[in-house]
Amino acid sequence: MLKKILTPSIFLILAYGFWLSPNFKEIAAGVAIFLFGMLSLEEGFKSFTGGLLEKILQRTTNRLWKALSFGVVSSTLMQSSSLVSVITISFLSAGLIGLTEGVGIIFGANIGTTTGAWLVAGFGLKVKISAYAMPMLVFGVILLFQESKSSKGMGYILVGLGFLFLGIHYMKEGFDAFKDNIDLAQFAVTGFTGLLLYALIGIIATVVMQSSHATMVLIITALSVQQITYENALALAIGANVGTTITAILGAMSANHQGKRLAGAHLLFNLVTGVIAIVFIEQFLVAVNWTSELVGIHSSDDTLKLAVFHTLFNLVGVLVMLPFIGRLVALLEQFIEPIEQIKNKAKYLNGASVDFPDTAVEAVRNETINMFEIGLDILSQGLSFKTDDILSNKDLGRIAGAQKQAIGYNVNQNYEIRIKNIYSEIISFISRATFSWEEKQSGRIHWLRNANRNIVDAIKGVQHLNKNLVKYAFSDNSSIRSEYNKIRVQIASLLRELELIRHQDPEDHSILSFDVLRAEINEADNSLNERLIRLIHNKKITPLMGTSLMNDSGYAMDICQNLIAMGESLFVNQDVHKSSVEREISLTHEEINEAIVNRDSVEEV
Amino acid sequence: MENKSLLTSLKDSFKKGFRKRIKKAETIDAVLLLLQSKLGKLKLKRAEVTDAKQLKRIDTQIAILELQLQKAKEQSKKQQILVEARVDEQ
Repeated sequence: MLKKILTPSIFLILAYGFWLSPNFKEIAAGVAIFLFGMLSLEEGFKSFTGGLLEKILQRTTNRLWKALSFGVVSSTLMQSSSLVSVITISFLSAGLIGLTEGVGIIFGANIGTTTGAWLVAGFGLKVKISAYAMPMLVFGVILLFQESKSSKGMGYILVGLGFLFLGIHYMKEGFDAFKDNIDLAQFAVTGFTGLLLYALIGIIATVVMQSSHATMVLIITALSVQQITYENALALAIGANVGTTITAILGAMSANHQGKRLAGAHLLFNLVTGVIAIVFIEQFLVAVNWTSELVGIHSSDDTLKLAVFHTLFNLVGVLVMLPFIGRLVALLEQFIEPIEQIKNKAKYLNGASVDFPDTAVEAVRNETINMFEIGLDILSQGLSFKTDDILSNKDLGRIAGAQKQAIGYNVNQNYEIRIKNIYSEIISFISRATFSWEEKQSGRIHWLRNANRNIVDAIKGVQHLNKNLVKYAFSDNSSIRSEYNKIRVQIASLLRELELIRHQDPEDHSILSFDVLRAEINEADNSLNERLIRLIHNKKITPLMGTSLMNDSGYAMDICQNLIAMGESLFVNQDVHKSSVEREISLTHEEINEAIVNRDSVEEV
Repeated sequence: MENKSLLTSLKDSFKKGFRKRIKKAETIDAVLLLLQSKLGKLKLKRAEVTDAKQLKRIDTQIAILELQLQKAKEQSKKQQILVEARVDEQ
């Protein structure tokens, strides 16, 4: 709504201004060309993303100080803190960097962006930069017509720089001519009121132009021809710094929660910095004079002194906020929560089937199979395997051995989004359906309910296992790596086997055929325990690793037991009498071990 | 009248229990036959397999089946005794 009113209003004001003064037209054209230059520059740098930039970002943001330096360097090179913010948000959303590092980059970008003021004040106004703009535009446009992506990118960067320079030139020319007709300095407001008023004007100008960089250039060029006072220019610079966060907030409205958090950090940082600059303006003025003298800036060179001020107050902002970065991140995570993702819903549980026991059992069975299919995907990825690999005939041991890093997968989050809702719908459906007492206690529905719990327990088990698996299955220690790979291959092989059973005729499998799977798991667990003692004794693994392995082999055992129990209830003939007899004949843990001993004694003979 | 109906319901319950026992005994026998047939087939298959890994798996299956068969036979005998006891009671 605001945008709908704002744009025509700006159009009207500008048209009136153009009609009133040709010099205003020149300044406005300068701003427009400058902004277009920034867009081209951003476009140019974007063409280098998707490779080099990401690699640099990944390598240089693993520590806070590195993230901070990256923010400074990248926004200095790109002359656009908003592009740095956009890239940071995309990396944050992809989970490649954490919020703390993201905030570090934003802090750094705030310092880096102040170099723009230095460039304009120190170079743009002192040299006839339009002379550089023309060849840049020509070379840039030629490069734009090239086929290769990098040439086009370079073209956009050159055209962007050319337009930036040209824009600055027009703004300067406009203000030069302006001062002969109108003296804007007569509107100067002194004191604290002036500070607040001009800070507000700086905010509005930045929101309208969507670029603090453009506002700063405008302020510097106006200051260079004394159209505004030095005091008011400082206030405008503070306002521009705050105003730029509104651009970031508008941009983050369509971003995910991480983007919003980053925009929140940006807003808080710039607000705090702005308040500090306003409250301690006198101290800053002294510091600016002292620094300027130190670096050899003439006391009458207000434009460069403005650049010093801009850098100083951003630097102070970073120094003040840096110790609180942890708290800031915690605060943002507390107040800006992830948007609840659409949770999976049950596919087969229809209210109409509640009153018909046989239909209801079938609905629960189908829904449980649906839950298994989703669970299979979660379990596969939780074990750092691609689901397709588990469902194929590929050698899982070889895949595990060749893997260099874990699949970044959040088991719990996926359980919450993809399984939990379906599980609770199944339980609710069973409680509403008109099953007999017997059916609920020992019949088909009893076993289906157990199968659901088995799936959930298996997922929870993988969630526990995942923590050490990610650490040790990709460790430099080959012994621990091999053991963890054996564990995940064992579970993955069982998943593959169950998936095969699921697609075969239920008549071909009985509850009793699952005892073989149990035997194999028992054997694997026994031999792991034997190896474990040897590995610790031979100092191949540390006792700490051994403890983790022991606990995790327990988790693996539970996961497998749950999966087998689920298979027994879900993938075999549903005849109640047969099932109950088979469950009685099914072997206990001890009997399975006895069978293995029998087998081995026969082999020895 | 009341005594008669109590007697009828007792008879019904007895019949129901008896049918259940017979059904269970029949199912156990069916499972027993299935296990025997599976074991026979597996032993035949074992003779053809040369791969050590596959051989180990078949041996495990055979060992498991033999134990299951033993359990099934015990269950069958138990059920037989229970059914016969009911017949005597009747």
